[in-house]
Amino acid sequence: MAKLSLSLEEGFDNDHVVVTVGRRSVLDERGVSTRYQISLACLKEIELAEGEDELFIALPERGLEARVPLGPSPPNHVRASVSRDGRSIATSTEDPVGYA
Amino acid sequence: MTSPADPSADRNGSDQIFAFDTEIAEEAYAEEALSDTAPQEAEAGLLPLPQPLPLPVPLPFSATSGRYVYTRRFNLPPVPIPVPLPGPRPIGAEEVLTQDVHAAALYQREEIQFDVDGAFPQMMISGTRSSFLSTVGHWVARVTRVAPGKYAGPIWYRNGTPNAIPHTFVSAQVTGGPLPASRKVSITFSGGGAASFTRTYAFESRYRRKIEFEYDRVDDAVAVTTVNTHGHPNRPVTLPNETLSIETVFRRAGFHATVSTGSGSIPINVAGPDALWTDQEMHDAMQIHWSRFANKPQWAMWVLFARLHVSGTNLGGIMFDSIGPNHRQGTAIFSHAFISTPPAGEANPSAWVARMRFWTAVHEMGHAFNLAHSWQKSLGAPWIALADEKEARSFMNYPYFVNGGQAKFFSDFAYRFSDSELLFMRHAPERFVQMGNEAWFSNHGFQQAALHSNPDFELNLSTTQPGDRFPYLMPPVIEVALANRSGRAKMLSGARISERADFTLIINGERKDPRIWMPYLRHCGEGDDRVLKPGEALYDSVIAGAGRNGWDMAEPGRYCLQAVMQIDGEPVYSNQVMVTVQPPSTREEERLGGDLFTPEVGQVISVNGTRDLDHVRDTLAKATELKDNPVSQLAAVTLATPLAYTYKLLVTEGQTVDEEARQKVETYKADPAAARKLIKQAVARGSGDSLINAMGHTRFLRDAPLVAALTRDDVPNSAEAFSTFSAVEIGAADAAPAVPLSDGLRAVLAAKADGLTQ
Ligand SMILES: [Zn+2]
Repeated sequence: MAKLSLSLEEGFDNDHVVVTVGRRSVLDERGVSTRYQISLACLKEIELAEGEDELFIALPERGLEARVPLGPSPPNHVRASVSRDGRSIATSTEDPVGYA
Repeated sequence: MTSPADPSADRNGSDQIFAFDTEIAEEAYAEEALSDTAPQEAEAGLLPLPQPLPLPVPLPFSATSGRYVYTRRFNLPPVPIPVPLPGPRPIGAEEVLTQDVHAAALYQREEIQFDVDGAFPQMMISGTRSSFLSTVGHWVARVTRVAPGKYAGPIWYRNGTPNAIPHTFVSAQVTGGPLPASRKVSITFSGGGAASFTRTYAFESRYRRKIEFEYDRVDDAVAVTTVNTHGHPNRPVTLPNETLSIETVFRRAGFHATVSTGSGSIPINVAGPDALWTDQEMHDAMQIHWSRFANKPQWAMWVLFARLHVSGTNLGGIMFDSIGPNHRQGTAIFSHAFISTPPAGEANPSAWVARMRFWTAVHEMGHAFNLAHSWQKSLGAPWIALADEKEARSFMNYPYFVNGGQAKFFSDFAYRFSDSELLFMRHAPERFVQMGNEAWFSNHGFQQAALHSNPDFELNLSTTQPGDRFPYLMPPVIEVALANRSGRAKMLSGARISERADFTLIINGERKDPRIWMPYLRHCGEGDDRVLKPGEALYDSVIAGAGRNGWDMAEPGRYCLQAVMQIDGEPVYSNQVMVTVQPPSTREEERLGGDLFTPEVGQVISVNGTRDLDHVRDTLAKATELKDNPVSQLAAVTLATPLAYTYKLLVTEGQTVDEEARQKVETYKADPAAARKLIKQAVARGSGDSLINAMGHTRFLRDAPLVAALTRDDVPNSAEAFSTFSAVEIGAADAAPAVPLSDGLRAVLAAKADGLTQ
């Protein structure tokens, strides 16, 4: 089983965040806020099952969604930030290295 | 056009000369830490060896930055009667009082942070005015060095009680002996429509505040509080080789940092059975283990060195205290997080890890000073709009976030905070910075190098002389532009900029006290309101060298000019222009100085001529003969202009007591032939362009119809007949064979004609 770590980084402000992999909900939390001293709102380790080829992130109250294709060799990390204008979710599969 | 003065040009000014080590022992160590560049400069042979100097002497001969204090004595009445400062001053010069008559009742004490030399000088002076009970006002001025030990510049930031700080400009002079205890700073506050005053502050400390760090280490963790700066070979080539402590980093940032005697170790079981730390567990541990814990604002911080946070190895450290009413009191470093894992192939793994742990410790402690990440300066609630500093080589940036990654970051990382961070730590209102005070991420940071200026407008000063250099005798002419940068149409007064009551032009000579330029005339009326479209500007030209104060820029030397005006109740600060007045190049110039630098000549040039005052006209006639000096052109125009029309002169006769004063009007006939001859000669001394530049663009535009009329036969009979003009008439002026202009200058004048103030 592949492991994926999801980092919700900048721009979260008391948000309801829903994350699914395939049809499975892996995160459904309210009050998610970025802590700017570590530039991080939430870290989540996700175990991926066979055939789960898409990560879906939504902030339903803000009408924001992002989809990250996982493919046959999924990334180790998915990082997500709400854009500075608050109108989209930017994602990246680059290693974040760490927070401080 | 002159570009705005680069404040960084003075950053490494030559006044950081030698650090005397004569302080009390406690501060002596810190002095060494602050003046880290001094030994290198001494080695370079540029600097004299320290030796006792007679008192009093002008500073600086050592670093003068630090905290200075003024306290009003109790035996003075609440609002003392101001006394003008002793010493001669020119007739008409502004009085400089010994007391702040505007806000004196509001405060008893003022503390200033003087930041012009030593480690990473920011060229700022800030002050806090307080009464017995509270802070009433805080100001910050950006200054430039105008002479040894002398700094001046505009106040760009104010906070606190309205009217506590009405002035807009400060000029500071350092005096005193080699011992810091005898050092003083005198500051003259001026501008802003308030009476100027001068106040002297006594030296207290090289630092803004004392601060105490308590380092507690959990049994299973590694604490790194020093680093060998040459421990890892990937570093700036110029980086001094030293064992650098966390305390020294903060001393260089302006704080007298010491380590608490309560520092020690914490048993691992405090973290709970999993040995991983949650934020709440750390907050609890802080209350138990920090010997100074008080849950109140204080200059003290608890630093926990632990092994791992419950979030895992992804978290290298955290300023965990955004809990409860008093934030930023405690911070933690996780020695075994990712910061203990060097990149694959790293050739110096242990040095890499040591450096990364040190970086993390200072980074987390920086958050406790309310510093945001470099790339997030604009987020949250910065004190004023901040720019992100994504590529900053600062403790507050993630090394692996910059272009080129951590290797590139450390290749030019000098173990320091950025200028905007130092500005904030040293000069922001104390409560924004102090631990346990302002909430985390609220009022963090200070915008670097930006004046708190009305953002809708840009006020620009420039000169038309190459390099802003003016030959001796030529009064510097400053071109002023006020542009609408708001992106929308703006309504504002069309009154002549230089004559508006809220326009202040400050002249700072390197050898003179700063002076506020005073116009000879103020035309009546406010002027009609003007609608300025986005990007449009109003223009004016100012003969800054001559004004009601006399000749403020007669002496050769360097002068810094800056203006401020109020629009919609907010100040608009101009750029600073450094103007050089050259020494006399000939005996004739030197000789003529005595005749030319009189109040009457200054006034006649400013108001564009007279048919009266023979001795003034004789002097101007001599000036027209000078070669390679635009003053010859200015003098010629000054002589020619009143010849262009029938000149009426009001003459008062009989000024003795016995004789009743009688007034009569003398009429002088126009003499266009003589005027034309003067203009023709003046153009021949340079060019049409140089003549217009010598006059000042808007001064020419206002008189252009006069000059144009010189080619016409129908000489009008009064100056008022020319009082209206348009771009078409400018064209007429251009067509006048007397003043042939280049296409470039013609375009400039056409633009300025559209934005000519009344
Ligand atoms: Zn951080």
